[in-house]
Amino acid sequence: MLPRPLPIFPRQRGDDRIRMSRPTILVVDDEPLVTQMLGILLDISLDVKAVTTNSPREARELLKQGDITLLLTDYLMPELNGINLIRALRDEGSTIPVIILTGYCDEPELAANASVLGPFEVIVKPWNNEHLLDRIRARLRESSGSDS
Amino acid sequence: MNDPLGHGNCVEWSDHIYHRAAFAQDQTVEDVQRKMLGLGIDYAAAIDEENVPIGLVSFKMLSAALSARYGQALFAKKMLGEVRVPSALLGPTASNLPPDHQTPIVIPITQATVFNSVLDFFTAQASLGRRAPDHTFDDIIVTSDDGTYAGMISMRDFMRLQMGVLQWQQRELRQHNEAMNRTLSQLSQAQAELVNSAKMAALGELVAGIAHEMNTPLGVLISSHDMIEKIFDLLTPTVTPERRSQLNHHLRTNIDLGREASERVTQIIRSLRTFGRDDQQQQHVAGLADLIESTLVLLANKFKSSVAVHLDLVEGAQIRCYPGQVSQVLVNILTNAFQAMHGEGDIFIELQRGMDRWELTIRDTGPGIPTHLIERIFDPGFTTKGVGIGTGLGLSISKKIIEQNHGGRIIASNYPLGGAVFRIELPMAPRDPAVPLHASAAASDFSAAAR
Repeated sequence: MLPRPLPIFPRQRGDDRIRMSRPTILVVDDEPLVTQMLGILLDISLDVKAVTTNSPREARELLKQGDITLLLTDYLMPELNGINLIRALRDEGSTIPVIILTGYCDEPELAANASVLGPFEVIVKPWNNEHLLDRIRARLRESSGSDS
Repeated sequence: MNDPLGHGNCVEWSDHIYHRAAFAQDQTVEDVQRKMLGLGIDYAAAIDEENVPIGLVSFKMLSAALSARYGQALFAKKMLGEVRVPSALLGPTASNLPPDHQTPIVIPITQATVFNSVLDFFTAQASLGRRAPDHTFDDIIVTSDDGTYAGMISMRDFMRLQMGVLQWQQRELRQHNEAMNRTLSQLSQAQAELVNSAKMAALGELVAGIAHEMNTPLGVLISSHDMIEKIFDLLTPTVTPERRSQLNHHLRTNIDLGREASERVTQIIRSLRTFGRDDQQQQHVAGLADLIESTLVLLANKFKSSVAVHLDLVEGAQIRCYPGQVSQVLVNILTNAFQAMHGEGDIFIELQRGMDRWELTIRDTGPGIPTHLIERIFDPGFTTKGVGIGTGLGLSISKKIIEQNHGGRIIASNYPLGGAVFRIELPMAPRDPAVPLHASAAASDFSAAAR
């Protein structure tokens, strides 16, 4: 349950996938099975806008637009791995929360980069839906708390 | 010259030797021999170290003298080469030799050839010509390889001994053969174990990646089950038509995702089974393209972040093979390519039809093989990966698998524009509809690496 109700807006179709008023979660995973699944999970469970992509490069472009509230990303991906994606995000000054959802996690690398990577946590695949949703809610709560 | 036959004393065999005085000093052994022949067959010439005849001796007497002291059992159950007569047995030397002279008197040297390696016994016997053809020998002089007297033996004992030696040799040969067969079988077993342990080592390296590769579809399966329940809960009578349609769509997507995830897991398990099967006993007809794609499933996780695999395969490339072993070779070469490229680059896999073989080329965009090492790259134990990284057995085992176990060929070279090239040729399977096909399931959408 969310700590405070988030405003509900009528759903819209079209190109404006990212809407300002609801939290927007960007889901990045090179595996289409995962992004589709998470897209549905977020849609039916949280009042958020889920944007999914299988390309870390596209994710980087989407993040640059600055409308993402939370980044949910895989770790090991072609083109650009999760850490590099987060680092690029932080380099641009963004402090949005990040959840790394991964089956493989290079913990020493994460630990070594913890200060650079900013607020992030790791959830190991296969994930538990409720646990994942709880963590997303908590991160959104913290983030909206810090915004206000 | 006294009649030697009249001499009865057998103990001192010197008594039976007629002094050299009996012969002229300038007589040769042949002269003596001739004289012996004239006298009769029972005489042997005794000669000294210089080969000078020093007397005659009756064979019978000599045999009796020797047998009296030691018996013919002296020679029993011994190889001819081992038969030795103690010098004491040979008795005193000729009287004109110094009394302390210990050199034994040597029995006619011409007979020393009887048992040498050139003449067989019967040839020698015939050539000796001392007896009429219908006359059998009673006693035989035995000499050692260097021509020195080694003892005596009766014909019957000799034949028995020869037979014993033959049987012993046959037994030795049989035991030797059995030992060889055992060793061969142990060697073959050891080689099989080596191939298997190398396979297990390769699998060990792949396990983490495979586990990760299975995690994704498993996670999707678990999640989709949860969500289907959740969506049903949300499909209440009050839900708006638009949302209902959206939820129905989610439901359908979830079912599709679950199905795809299950297929993905099945595919990984099938690949693992192909790779891990103990297929030493029987070859199968398998599709080479399927084996390649199946192997890539195992490597998908390793490759997916930074290696692009470009496939150019042909349909219907059937080979008669041990599928697990071929998969093992592919894993070895692809893992080498991955390591050579430091985990980043392109791998080109091309399958072509040759005259009577399928030709598979695997090329990477790594640094290639140093020219001076190309010759040694398939040597057992050869590695450039450093201690603890490579066993140096992967390629030597791959060569053994392809060439010895499949009658194919594997060649390493460098691509003119850079990178290593491994070319594998495998004989085409004969067109035999009765042969069961293995791993012939269509391989669609196998791996992230192959996509």
